[in-house]
Amino acid sequence: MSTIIETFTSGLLVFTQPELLLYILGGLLFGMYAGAMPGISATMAISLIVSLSYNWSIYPALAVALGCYVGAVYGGSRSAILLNVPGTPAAIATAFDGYPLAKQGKAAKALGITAIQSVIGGIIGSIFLLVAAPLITRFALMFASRDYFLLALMGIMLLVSMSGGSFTKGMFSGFLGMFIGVIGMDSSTATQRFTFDNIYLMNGISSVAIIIGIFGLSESLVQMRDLRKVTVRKQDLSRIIPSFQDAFGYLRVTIESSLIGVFVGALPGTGGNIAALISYDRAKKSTKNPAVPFGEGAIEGLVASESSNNAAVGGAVIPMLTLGIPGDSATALLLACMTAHGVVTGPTLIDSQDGIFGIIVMLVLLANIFLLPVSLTGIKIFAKIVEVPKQILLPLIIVLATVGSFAAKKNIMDVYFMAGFGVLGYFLSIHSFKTGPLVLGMILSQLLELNLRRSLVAAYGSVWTLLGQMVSNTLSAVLTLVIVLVMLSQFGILKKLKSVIKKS
Amino acid sequence: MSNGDLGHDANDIVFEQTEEIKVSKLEQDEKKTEFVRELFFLILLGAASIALLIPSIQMWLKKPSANAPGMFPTIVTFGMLLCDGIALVQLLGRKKAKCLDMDESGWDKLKFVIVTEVPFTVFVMLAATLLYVASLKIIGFYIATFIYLTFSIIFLYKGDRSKIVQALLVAVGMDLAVYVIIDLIFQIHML
Repeated sequence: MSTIIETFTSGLLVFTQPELLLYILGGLLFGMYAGAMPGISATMAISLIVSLSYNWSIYPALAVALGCYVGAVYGGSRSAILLNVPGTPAAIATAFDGYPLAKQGKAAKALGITAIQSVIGGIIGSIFLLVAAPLITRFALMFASRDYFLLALMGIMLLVSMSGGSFTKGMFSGFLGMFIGVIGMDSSTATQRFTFDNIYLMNGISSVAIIIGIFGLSESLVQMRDLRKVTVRKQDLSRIIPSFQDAFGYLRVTIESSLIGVFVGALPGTGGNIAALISYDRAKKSTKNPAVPFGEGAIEGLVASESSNNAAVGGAVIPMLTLGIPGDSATALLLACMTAHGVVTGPTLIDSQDGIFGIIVMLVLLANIFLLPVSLTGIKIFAKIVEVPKQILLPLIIVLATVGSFAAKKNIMDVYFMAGFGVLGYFLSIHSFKTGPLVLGMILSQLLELNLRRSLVAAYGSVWTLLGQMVSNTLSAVLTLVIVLVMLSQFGILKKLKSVIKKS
Repeated sequence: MSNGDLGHDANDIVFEQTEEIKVSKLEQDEKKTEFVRELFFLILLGAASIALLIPSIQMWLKKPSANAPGMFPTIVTFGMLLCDGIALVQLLGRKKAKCLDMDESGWDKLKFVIVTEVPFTVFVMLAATLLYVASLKIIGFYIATFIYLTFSIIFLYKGDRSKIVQALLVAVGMDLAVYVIIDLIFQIHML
């Protein structure tokens, strides 16, 4: 308790430098609008901010970077809702129900709800960062390599199961994504894998190029296929600020998803993307009678995804500060920013005398509070985007996809790969192969491989020993059980078992 | 309401009905050719999976250990092949619509399948997009974007001349927006 009070008191130091509040606001605005542009991810926005603030003093640099992080995670939902192109991987689940809402003419309502839910989730995440940082750190330390492997696998399987359609096709996409993720130089042995001696491929294919190609280009091509069927829906802009019911009527889902977000975000290597997907799945299963089915514009789906991914920001900062392990690529950049300013992260940071931990916690909290007024700006303009005729909007998205894929690394090869994966995504989509698992598989490929190899080495190379550990350890057993249950439910075995039990 | 308005509305209704008929025809064609297209695509993916599995196994066999660089790709590509195989078995298990029941020659059937897979609009836009991407390095981003956007918008409007000015304005506007936001603000110099 005394640690919490000390952290909070040191956090109040922020108010002795009021200019820091302006830096947070600046970072939020920049992050939100950058994250809303397809192709400009949260990571890229933060990298730009970090490079700009390199010569600043520590607190303004941290304020602007943390503001940018919070703003960009929220901003990613705008393009997910309006264009079905998630600005960040954390917004993949937001597109499931956000885009159908936009197609129904309710883009402004969806954007308003995401704004409120992001703020609530973000604040819950910040409070948890303050209260539970030492506790969660201790719990995260209990995770063995096999648990990280199982957690990542679970994330992919959950995405496949909730995407609907064929489970085998979804898993194919997941495996394909994992394969794309292994292209490049092996980090342990420096062996070249599927690089064909091409220098560009040695670092692997840019995930930004793949995400943009799969979601931006292929979606545009699929829509061109049925151009006559795609109707331009007039957006209802009469009510941007959500009603009390929309903002607080789903409090159970909000709190549940925020807690999942904080917890999953706190696990090193995971982040808002897995958190949002798990929360979405949880909301789908726990909401018995949604007014609109999930995947067709369910508010509960939007609430779960957005409150969770913003809560994960607070969670992701925990391992970065207390273990020195970034929760995702965006926090890796924040870590780089802190290191550049001489902050040594790790278990000693909470107890450090200069109170930097408290200041960071307060900056995250304030960024989430300021997100409310900032997130409600520009909704009308953004909502108008979907009213643009598809004959104009679709070519514009393709140009934006080109810009985004080039801008990430300033490499023309990324544009070529974006186009290639866009074509692949088109064929996969029209044959009912879900593309979400492909992208998640690619993002988690390294985490999966690294932890599988570590687990096998720890099990003396024996698969049976590893399987034994997966069943005998409580945490691993729970994760294994979830994976098995997901598989059984997908093949209808669970239903058959239930009916057999009922009969008997 | 004037006669002109009435005429305009009537035309719109006729147009919408024609469009609806076309859409339902596309959906019918999709259903009719679903089995053949699905079968061909799954075989293609299966072949690709095998093509990736073989070098993965070879890589693993070079250094067969738990920490071998070929282990994970082997597992992953085997997973791809397995999923593809199951999907293929599931497809073959379906009883209905196994073949195209058309009184046409083999070539006509193939053409029909290809056109359903990649309709004319998608084919042209796909070709235009690939050409656009390929030309970026040769003629530069701004010129390529201007040409691509103008062509695409006019093409998607089925060559409607009244849309030419709109297409040109959008192309110029997009070039300007990218220049200001990406080039000037983000300091990322496009090609």
